[in-house]
Amino acid sequence: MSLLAVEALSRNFAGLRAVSEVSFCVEEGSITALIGPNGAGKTTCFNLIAGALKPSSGRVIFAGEDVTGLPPEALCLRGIGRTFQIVRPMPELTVLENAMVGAFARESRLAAAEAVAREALSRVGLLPKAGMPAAQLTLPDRKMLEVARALATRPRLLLLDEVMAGLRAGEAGAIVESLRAVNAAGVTILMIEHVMRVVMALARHIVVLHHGEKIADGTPEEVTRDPAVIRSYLGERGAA
Amino acid sequence: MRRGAIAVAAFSGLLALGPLVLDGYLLSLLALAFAFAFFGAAWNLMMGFAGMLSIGHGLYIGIGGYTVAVLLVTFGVSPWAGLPLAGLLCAGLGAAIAWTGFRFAVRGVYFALLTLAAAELARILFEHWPFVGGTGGFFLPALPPGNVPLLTLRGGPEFFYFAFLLLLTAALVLTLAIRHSRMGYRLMAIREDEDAARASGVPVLRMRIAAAALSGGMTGIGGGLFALMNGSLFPNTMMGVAISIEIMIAPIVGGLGTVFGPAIGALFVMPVHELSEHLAQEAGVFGLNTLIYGLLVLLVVLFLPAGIGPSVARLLRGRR
Amino acid sequence: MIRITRRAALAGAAAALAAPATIRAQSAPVKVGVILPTSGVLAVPGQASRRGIDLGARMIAEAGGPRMEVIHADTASRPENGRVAAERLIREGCTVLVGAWDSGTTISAAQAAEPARIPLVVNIASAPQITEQGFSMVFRNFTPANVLIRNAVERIREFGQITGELPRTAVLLHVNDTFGTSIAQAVSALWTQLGIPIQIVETLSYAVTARDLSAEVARAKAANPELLMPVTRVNDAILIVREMVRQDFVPKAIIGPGSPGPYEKAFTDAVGRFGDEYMVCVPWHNPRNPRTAEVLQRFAREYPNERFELNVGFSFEAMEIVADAIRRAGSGDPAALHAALRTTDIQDHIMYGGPIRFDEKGQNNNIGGVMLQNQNQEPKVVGPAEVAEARAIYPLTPFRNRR
Repeated sequence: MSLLAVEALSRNFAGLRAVSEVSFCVEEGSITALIGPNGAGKTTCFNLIAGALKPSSGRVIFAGEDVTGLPPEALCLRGIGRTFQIVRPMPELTVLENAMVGAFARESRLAAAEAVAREALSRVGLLPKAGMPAAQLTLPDRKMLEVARALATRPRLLLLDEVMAGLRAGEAGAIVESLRAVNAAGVTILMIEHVMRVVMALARHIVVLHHGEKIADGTPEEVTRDPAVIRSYLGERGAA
Repeated sequence: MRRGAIAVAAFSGLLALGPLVLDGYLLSLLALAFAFAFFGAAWNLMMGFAGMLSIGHGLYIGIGGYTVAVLLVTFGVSPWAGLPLAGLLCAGLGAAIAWTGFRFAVRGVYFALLTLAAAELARILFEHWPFVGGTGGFFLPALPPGNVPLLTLRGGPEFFYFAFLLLLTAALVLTLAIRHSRMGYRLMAIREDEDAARASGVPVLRMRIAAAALSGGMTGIGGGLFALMNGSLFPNTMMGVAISIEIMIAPIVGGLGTVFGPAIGALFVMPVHELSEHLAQEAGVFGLNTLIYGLLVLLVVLFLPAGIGPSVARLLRGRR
Repeated sequence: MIRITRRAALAGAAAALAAPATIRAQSAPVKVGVILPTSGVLAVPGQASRRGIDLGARMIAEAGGPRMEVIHADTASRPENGRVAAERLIREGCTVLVGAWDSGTTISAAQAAEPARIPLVVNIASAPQITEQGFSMVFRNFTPANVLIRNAVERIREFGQITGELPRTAVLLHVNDTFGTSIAQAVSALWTQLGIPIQIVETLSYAVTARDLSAEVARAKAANPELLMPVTRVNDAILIVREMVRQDFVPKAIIGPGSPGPYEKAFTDAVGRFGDEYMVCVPWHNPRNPRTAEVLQRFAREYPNERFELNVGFSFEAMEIVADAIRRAGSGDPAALHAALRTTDIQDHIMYGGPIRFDEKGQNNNIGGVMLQNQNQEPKVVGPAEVAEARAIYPLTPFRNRR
């Protein structure tokens, strides 16, 4: 049984079908990438899975339970953590306090939450900056803080929304390593990503969306050779 | 946390010595300052921590005040029972308002308008309700010569000085405890970014209701004591817009979202009021006091936007 | 900081009493603390009251009266400041207080005055409870709302004798605040109790903050009353008159039973000739008393742009009451002043009414009420006959005929 199964998921916005009958599975322990040209419906799909949006139709099954339409806080408690495309550190809080917000999802005592938070920070390499106000972090560090806060909620599935966006090549490398380590420690990852190098380096399973529909689903080798995929990307470039 | 606790102990301990050296005037002035610091601390729980702007907190001052006063005068119920009842009633009102805001997806500035609407609704209701005196007001009897303050919860300047200092201390301790607890972190997360908070497992609605209930309940108790101190209640002075705005000034000036902000703000604002009134009398210009006061608050807001507390703290940290 | 305890103050006062009274009274001025809202929402009547206080203090000093040092405190129109102001004045050595215009502020000040055993002379405040709640230090030389209305209704009833004719129907139109509501209720109650032969066909009310009274005035006009009885403050009185002009609503008379507003300068300045012939029943100064003319002239010289109205008058009189008490007490000791105030019996005073005497609750029950009518944009006393200074104009001259 897959950890996450998305069945015929659809979402309309006043006549526009942002996501249309999308179905795929994410196996436990894997790193899956959700890719596609701009406006393909990737973030909408994420929001549907993470509970930030309610689907117009379709189902989301997580660990065998139908969690369709549950709010984000409920999904978090069931084991789904997520980051946001535009990073949202809590600027008035320190790095450690940000992570502790996540830790408090499962811990009620201050000391325990702090311990969990520190552990999450160390997994992404942010522990040395624990006392720094989050507002002072660089962009790569902010992204890692997002990940740390999500990790502190002890998720089984981590949804990463364009973690690499806006980063320079050198910065991306360290993050790829952190994510690999996180996955190796047992966290399943579903990531939206545009940077193909990173996708190829990390993902063993790729799902491709175009105009809200799934057009390909398989290993990196299968997907990159798929004519529909090539057309969707080339077609965009041709139109530009 | 420990540093904060020591600070609160030092602050309150020092002020508890007040009646030894201060006269009736300064005691009653400070009692009023403590009252507004307390209201500010209660308001700060909602705004400073949860980011929920309330511009109708007068609702709780009024309902709290009238509950205690009416129970005392009309039903002979001691304020010892009246105050907790007032707190519970106002906590319920706060929860109801927060729930209503959520139910109708009213956020941000619109939530603020909701709080104002609730306060105005109550004010107009009370103005037309003969049982509480309507616009004619509700009056407490004069204190008999043998009055025992601890029994009647009414007395002279020393009594109200201690009473409001006690409430303020309790509020500071509570704020400190919340700041360093799961509730505090979650409230701040809601303030910083509600969606990120949700994604991190924070039950936003429940926390909002809790914050509003706590804030409202505290303010209600303070309102009850405030009424006992004034001796009379009128709907527009107890729950009008004027007092709702007035209690916001101390926490904003002192430092929003900080533990000591409301206290610092109130202790800054009160002397400024008195000083500017003195200057106005000396200069013989009516209204100069309101002008000076307004100007000073404006200057603080413009040049020390984080509030006096954080600015002073930053200065001290920079020096070291 | 040296704390001035009550014990210390009373000890000092006792020592003072031991010396010959008159010598003591002349050696140190008695400190009189005055609590008023001279800024904020209530600044206009507060400042008017202040003018009365200051004028009174000056004229008393010139007449060789007891030496007084007046110390002012401004409550900024916030009732909770009454208590703090009283405490401050007491600390500064005031042994008698005057104030505070606003009922809430007066009670707040009384909270401090009572345990300190410092007498509080109330110049203006209308809530009946001020002298009903058991304060022994309070002396009020102003009518509680119920008495104010009784006087007003009496004036209206007499009106027929002055004009030879009484209106048959009336509409009561009142502002929905402290003053307005209690007055409206009292009017209705007294109307039936005293059997006034004018039928109140409708009672309308409006919010204090209303900016548009066209609907209310239209409804009043539709009821076609011969008498319109507005209970207003200044701004709404102006609004009502303008609406009446606009809608050409001309009853036979407009009489406000106990309304502040129409006698104020702001009103007569704003509506000019359209505000003429508007009548109002309020406590007022006695124009037939020779001293009144002297005081009015002095006021006109010192405050040429202001009007001597009831806020000024009662505040002036409060100072006279304090001076009289000091004279008879022979000192500024609060207990002596309190005893003297209790036996106050002033026959000759400028505000209309019988002798100033305070009953056991501290209330002066001899305060009268007059019928004022604006004539040439000045309020003139037109009744009762014993104090009238002008003849009432009745019925109302239509607005379109006014030059």
